[in-house]
Amino acid sequence: MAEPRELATLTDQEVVALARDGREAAYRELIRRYERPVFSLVLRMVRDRQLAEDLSQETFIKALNAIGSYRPEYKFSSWIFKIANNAAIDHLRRRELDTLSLDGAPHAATPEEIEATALQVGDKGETPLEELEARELGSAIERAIAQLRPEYRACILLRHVEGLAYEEIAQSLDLPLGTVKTYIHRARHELRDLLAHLKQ
Amino acid sequence: MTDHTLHLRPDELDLLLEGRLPNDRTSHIETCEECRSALDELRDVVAQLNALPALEPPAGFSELVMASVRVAPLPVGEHLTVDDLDAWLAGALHQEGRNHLWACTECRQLADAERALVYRLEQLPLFQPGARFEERVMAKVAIPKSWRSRIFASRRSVALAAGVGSLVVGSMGASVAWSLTHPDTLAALGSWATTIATQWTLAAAQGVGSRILAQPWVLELRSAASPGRVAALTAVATALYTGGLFAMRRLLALPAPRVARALP
Repeated sequence: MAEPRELATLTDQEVVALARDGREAAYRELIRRYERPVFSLVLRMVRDRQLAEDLSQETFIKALNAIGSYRPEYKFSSWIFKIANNAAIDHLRRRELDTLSLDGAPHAATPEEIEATALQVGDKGETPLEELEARELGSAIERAIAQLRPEYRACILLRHVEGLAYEEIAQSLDLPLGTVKTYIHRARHELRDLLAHLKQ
Repeated sequence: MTDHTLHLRPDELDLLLEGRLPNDRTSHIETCEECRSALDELRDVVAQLNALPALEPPAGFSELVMASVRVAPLPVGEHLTVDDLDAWLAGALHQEGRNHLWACTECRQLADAERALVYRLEQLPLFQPGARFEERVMAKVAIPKSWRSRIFASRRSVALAAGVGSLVVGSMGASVAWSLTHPDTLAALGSWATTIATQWTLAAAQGVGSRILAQPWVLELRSAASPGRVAALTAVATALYTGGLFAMRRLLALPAPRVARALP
């Protein structure tokens, strides 16, 4: 049986093959390899540490429980990033709906009705976790990334933070290659503008 | 007496002054008064030249020169595309693009800004999830058991697998041994089975055939059939069959999906 040290020298496909053979150490190796990239991607997408942990955990559980259906001709990284991105995007869409509901009931027509039906969110002090988040995601570049559209954000993070090739990003996000290139160039353009604005 | 043919030439005197004259010629100066005097003169001239003050050009000299010089515009060509910028970031920009980048301030500023941004993005750290992340995931992952691990899971499973294996191997061995020792019986059995199978097949075919022939529409068809109609019908049926084959082939040759199926 391959020791963890030996597993570290194997390719993703070889480790996956061992996992499909029921080797627990191979599962752990896959988690160790991808926990930081996946968690970082999700955290930068949702900007909430606890939520990012939950979504990353959900990503790994889905991926590892479905390891039998993984097709080895595709890169494992593309597959796991695809699941992680889907989880983050789904959450952002749900949160968008929730955010709208905070602004008042849909049938509220006058400003008074909107105010009366809007949920009141109290100001709460920063917990240690929130302080950590502020430290991690508080730099100018992180704040600029946060202002990008989720699709642009996913593309730029996968390209320049995770180091994926354009083709892998297209696979991960189920987008045509041309669209990925366009998104990345627009994201870089917006980031330059946002950073210049933040500097001022 | 001094040999005049060995006198140092002017270029040799220059070299001597610079300390670069070969040794075999330097020795001449020690014995030749004439050459020593020439060297002293040369040294004086050089010293005087070095002592000359630097003179300033008249005011507005450079403007005057530049007014008379026509600076030709650089051949900048087309501005770089986004793909060109990507290629430049990857260090793979074509020569024409590099020439343009060198000449075009606008593109150079853009490229520099892109490079600075990409550098900042690449320096972003990866974050570590909380403690025991791996354990929390593993607690919810169902690891499939391979047939090998299932067999060796317990003594009972090993015994069961050994029993089934022995039964299969034993019965196969017994079958082979019996066949080798009873070839005549085996041949007779084969012949009998073949005869029975043939009889049953023929009887079934006859039964189906007689039932079809007894149908009223068959009788009508037979009365209406002519050799020409039969030929036309056969041609249509063949064309339909061939067309169906092509259609099936096209349907089965659908492109494979580019991406592994996403999980729900």
